Amino acid sequence: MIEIKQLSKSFNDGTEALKHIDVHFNEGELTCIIGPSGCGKTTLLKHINRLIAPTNGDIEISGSSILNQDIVELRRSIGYVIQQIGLFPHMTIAENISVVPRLLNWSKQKINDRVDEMLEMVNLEPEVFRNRYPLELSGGQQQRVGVARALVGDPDIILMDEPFSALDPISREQLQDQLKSLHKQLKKTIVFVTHDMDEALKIADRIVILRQGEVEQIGRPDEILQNPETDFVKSFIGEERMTRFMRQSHKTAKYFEDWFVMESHGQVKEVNADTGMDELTTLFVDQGYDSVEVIENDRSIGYLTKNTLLKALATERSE
Amino acid sequence: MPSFVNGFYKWGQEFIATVIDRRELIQTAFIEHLWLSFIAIFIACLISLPLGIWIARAKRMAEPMIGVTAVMQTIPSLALFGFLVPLIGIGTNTALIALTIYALLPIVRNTYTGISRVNPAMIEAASAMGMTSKQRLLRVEFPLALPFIMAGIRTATVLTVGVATLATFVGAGGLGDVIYRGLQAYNQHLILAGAIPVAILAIMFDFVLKYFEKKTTPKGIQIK
Ligand SMILES: Nc1ncnc2c1ncn2[C@@H]1O[C@H](COP(=O)(O)OP(=O)(O)O)[C@@H](O)[C@H]1O
Ligand SMILES: [Mg+2]
Repeated sequence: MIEIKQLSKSFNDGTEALKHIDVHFNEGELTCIIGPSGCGKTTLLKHINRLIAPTNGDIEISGSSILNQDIVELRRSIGYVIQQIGLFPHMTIAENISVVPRLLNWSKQKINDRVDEMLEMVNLEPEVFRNRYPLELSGGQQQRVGVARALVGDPDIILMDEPFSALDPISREQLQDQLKSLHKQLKKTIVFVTHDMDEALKIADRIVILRQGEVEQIGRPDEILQNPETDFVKSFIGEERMTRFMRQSHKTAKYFEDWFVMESHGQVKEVNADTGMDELTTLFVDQGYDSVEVIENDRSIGYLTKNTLLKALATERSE
Repeated sequence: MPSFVNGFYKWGQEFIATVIDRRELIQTAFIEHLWLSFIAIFIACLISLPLGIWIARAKRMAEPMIGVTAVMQTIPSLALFGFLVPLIGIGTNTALIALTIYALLPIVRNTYTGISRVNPAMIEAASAMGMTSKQRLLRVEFPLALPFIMAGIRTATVLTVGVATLATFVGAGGLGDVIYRGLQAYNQHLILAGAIPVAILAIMFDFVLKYFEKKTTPKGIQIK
């Protein structure tokens, strides 16, 4: 769908923000671009709607270069949501959402219907919110409007630049969940920039890891969790995150029966079949065991290793 | 009755008598003054608004442009009228040019500031929606800058109403006529009969513009 080819960007001050980036964003997928601050995420994203022009390389959408496309048309076909939200304070919520439809001279009736439809889609009651002003809304509500505004013209592509990172944890979780279900429902191609690995793991179909303007690794969340290709990726994901990921699950050792192996290696510890994830994590991560022997009714039913458990969990969450 | 109350009473009677006696002069001067100020402000707006918007876009021009208007403002007003006479002669045009020059700075500066301080996130959002630069100006930047611009116009207006008293020296009339005649005749009643309407006019303009400023401030911004 979106093909970035050998993209390089040097700013006027000499900053090399992107270096020969080759990456594609699949149609209908939600791809997260992740990396530490200043690694070029925003710069990469803004190339897609031509807010930034490349120094070298090309960007293609559906097979044709965007660089000689009409810029207004291109931007109208791409939704854009930013961290600072960027709602216009002098316009009501309905006016904010309908900026582009009004520029396109849609009929009043069509605009009103579409605005209400959009508000409902992002779980804001039209009767309550239509005529309010942005400053009367909470951060989370404002960003919902931001998402509604990006979706109003039914674009195929949506670009989101750390849209939830300024929100409180509860709103953030809610919006992540809603984005996920919206994405399932609408099947848009979404490129989502974040610096938060947990967020990426939670919502992404694919993850692109950037480091100092270069692609470090691309893969599905479970692939990246299981096979971090470089030390940078490893440390970026962090054992701590793996731990949290493991602890979140409410499974017991017995649940992973299919993944049991018949022989052990390294340091082994005997555990009961109903041992929870908490204790397993403690054994694997904190106490350094490599595998556990699972006992049910005084009988050994197999070994669970640290690596297979990680794999199992990764597969689990992608289903 | 104490003598100062008596004196004040007598003084008031004389003042009112003067106003009634000279009411035609005062009335004409008042209307002249109003028009001079109004037209000068109007022309100043026509020049300053586009100029302010332009330098907000072409930032390199901002410093020199604001500098030039600031320098013009520092010329003593009497001297400016004096400079213009040998160039343009006397008359209403001379007065209007001088008054317009005075009104430029506050409007240019506030327009520039108002447009420049529009949140960059807003500009980015507008551009990303595919707004052309003109659409962005009309729908986003200008409405958001409007309270600032109106404040600039208000400052310029009060200033102009004051300076317009000097129009009399280039034969352009206005309430300065009344004051000048009062000065020449050592008639303090007449001086005040000219000065008080200037103040009233300034307050009137200020009041009307304040109302417009309120009206034009987008509702969403007032909520803060
Ligand atoms: N307009 C600009 N001019 C010069 N340097 C810039 C500009 N925008 C970004 N940069 C630099 O480019 C690098 C990447 O920036 P950015 O894409 O914003 O990073 P991220 O979004 O990953 O935090 C940073 O070093 C940043 O300082
Ligand atoms: Mg960024």
